[in-house]
Amino acid sequence: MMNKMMTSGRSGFLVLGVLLVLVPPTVRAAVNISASVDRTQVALEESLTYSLEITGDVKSLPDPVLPALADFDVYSSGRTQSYNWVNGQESSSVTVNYIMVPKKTGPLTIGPASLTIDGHVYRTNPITITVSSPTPSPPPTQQQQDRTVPDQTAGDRRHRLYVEAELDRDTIYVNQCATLSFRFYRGERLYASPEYRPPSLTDFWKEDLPPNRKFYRTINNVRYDVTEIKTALFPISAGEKTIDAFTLTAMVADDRRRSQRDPFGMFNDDFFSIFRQGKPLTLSTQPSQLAVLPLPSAGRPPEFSGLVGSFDITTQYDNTTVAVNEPITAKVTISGRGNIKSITEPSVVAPDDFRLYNAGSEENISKAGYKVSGSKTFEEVFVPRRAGTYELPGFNLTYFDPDQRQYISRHTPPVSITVTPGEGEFSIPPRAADAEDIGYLAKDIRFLKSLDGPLERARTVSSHVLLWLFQIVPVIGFGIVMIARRRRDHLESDVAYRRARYARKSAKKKLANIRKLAAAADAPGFYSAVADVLADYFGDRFNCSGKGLTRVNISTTFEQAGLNTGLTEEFISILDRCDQARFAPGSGGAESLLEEYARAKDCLDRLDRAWQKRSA
Amino acid sequence: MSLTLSPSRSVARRFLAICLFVVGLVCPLNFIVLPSCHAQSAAATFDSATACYERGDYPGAVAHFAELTRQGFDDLRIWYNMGNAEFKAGHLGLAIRAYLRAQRLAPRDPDVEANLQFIQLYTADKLEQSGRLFLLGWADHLAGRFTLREWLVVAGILLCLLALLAGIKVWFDLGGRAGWYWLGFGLLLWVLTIGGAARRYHDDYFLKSGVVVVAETDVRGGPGDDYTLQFSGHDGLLFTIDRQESNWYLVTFANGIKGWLQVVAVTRI
Repeated sequence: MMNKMMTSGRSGFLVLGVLLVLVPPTVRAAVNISASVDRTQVALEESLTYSLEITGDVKSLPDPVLPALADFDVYSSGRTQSYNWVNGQESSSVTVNYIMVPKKTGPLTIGPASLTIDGHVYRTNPITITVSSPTPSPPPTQQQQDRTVPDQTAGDRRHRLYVEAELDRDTIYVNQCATLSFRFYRGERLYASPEYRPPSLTDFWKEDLPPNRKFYRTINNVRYDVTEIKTALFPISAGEKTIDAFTLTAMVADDRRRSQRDPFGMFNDDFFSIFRQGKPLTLSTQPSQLAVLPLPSAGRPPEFSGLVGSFDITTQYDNTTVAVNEPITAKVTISGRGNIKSITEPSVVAPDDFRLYNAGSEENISKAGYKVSGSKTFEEVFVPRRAGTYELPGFNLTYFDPDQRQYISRHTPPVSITVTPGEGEFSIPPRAADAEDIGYLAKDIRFLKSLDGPLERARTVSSHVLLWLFQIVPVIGFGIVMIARRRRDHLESDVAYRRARYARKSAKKKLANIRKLAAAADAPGFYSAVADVLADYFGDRFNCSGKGLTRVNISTTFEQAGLNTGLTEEFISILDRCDQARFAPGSGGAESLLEEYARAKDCLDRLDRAWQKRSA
Repeated sequence: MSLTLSPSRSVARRFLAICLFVVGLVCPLNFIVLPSCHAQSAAATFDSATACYERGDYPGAVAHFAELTRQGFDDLRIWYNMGNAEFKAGHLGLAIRAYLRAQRLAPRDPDVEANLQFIQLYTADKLEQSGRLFLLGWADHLAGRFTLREWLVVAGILLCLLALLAGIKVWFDLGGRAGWYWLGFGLLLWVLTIGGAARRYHDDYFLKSGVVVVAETDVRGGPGDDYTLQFSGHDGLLFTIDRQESNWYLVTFANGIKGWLQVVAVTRI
């Protein structure tokens, strides 16, 4: 059963491989073509964009074939192409755009576009659009009909395109408003949106005046589509000002190029050459002149800040009865016609017992009717320092009215304020503060600190040395623990090391008992104990058994250890004496035993020192 | 055997003994009596300063507090009170300087914090902090919340605890692998703490900062009046000093902008 399944699986892979080899690439290549329009309802003479998107997993895609479009003027609007390689699969995408302008009203059908790849034809769906009658234009006025072409130098005689720039007045005062209008006259169709470049207006404070106005105008029996862009200008200094030219670049039809072609060249043209070609056309206006007069010095009030136009000033207080240190906010609104942005903070003289803060301002600019007007509101905060009844003076505004050609001062009425006693009074230097900080201003600084202990002296860099060193001590402690642990492990795991390490200590302990035997004149016990101590020391030191030692054994071991031969002989002689004494009772009294004890001890000491020296 | 001294040597020894006795007596006095005298004198000066303040003689109070700082005292109460007096005297920049010095000694003192926050409302130049990583800003703030001594003590205690635990773990073989992880975490905490100490050490002893102490001064593009005027700095504007060139400081403001300020218009904190 299993074999059968495996055989079946192998067969499947074989069939799949054969299919992959045999199936041609054109079949594997999935190609799609689709058509779309940006809108399905247009007016006559308006244009729509028709897009053909072709996608496929082949490297190059052929050009599509458009259907017959007798009801439209068709212009090529370019193509975009992308090529991708994802997971070993290649794919291309091409989008071809056309601008179509219907020639008649009613429902019009754009037939299916087609694309042929390896004999296989792909088609799009037809698209139906509805074309309505053009929007009726306003009847041209007599003035408009009689008007000549605006400026022949600002246009192109072969094309019905013109531009002009116009100022509403030629003489104004500094900071007075002049309106500059730029108009673009279009009497023929464009290939793309025109590119508009206004001049740099460095000597002016400018405000755009939207929206752009569009209307029709008939000049020399030609109807022009006019677009007007207005800008409000406020000169910042006096003198003769020149407003540089506006420029506009439009894509227009290049008929000359087509006429210069080889009459038989059409047989060599590719598909897209049947569309008309565009060329850029740049139009410029004439520079404009504006005389800017200085503001008259006669009668100019000292507090005049340069505001020009026609304005009014009003004030609104949020409270007229407050406690000491509580803020009163006055909203001062200056409204009118002119350069709103140039309105400065109105002047006011606060009473001595008040602190005054500017808490910000807010602008509201209107451009209705292509005139700049609006208002600017200042928030002025008064903070009373002491209780009482006060009269806050009015705010003053001075501006120059260009229509009346004189300076005008306006004042708001004074207001009476009652200040009730608060928590305390304080004096602080007047300073600017932000609106959000006003809450803090009702408080004073906190009071002095009293001297409730000795004053501290300045600390130097070295005063922290101990604290820095304190960081090292635990590290050293931990290092000691680590070393101790390693030593302990060594002692536990290495018997020879442990015996050698404690050889001297063990011998010393035993010698202390031997001295008592010497003092008691117990010669047999003494010599036996001395022999045992020396043998045990030897055994511990060299990790061997101390019992049954021979002279040769001892000599060889000491020699191998590199110890002094004199010590070896002494060690052996002590052992010999011990053996003799043990087997010859009654030899020596307490004094001789103590001398023997001293010799044995000295021998062990020297032996130990020699050992330590050798180990070092 | 008896030792017999010649008369001249005996006198010399007696003289030496007397000298040692005097020195032995005087030295402890240096540590006990003299500081006490200094303390009495300092306390009197402090009281005089407070009295000046209370009767509205703010410049007088400032002078007394400044005298104490010249005597080598560096106490929170001196700097804080001096800040109050400077502020009342209308010296915004000097008041900020005094409060910042007080804050260096007691970073979490609520009075210092409140007064500093309060008087900074009066500064004309309100600069936004230049774009810094949130984490760095937070770390700076945290480092400034503790004194160097506090950081070092905490770090030392933490390290002692860590060393003790590590020692117990090593000696008794306790805790296994998890124990090492916990110790590693503790070590990380210690590194952060000692980092805070290092930051504070740098700020206290090496960071050169200053404040504008005149009503208005020019911030220029170079060390001289001929250089371009960048903007005007006002009383209380804080900065860090990069370097000095003749009578000008190259400084960096909180918003990251650099400029040159005249030395006479500022004071070091």
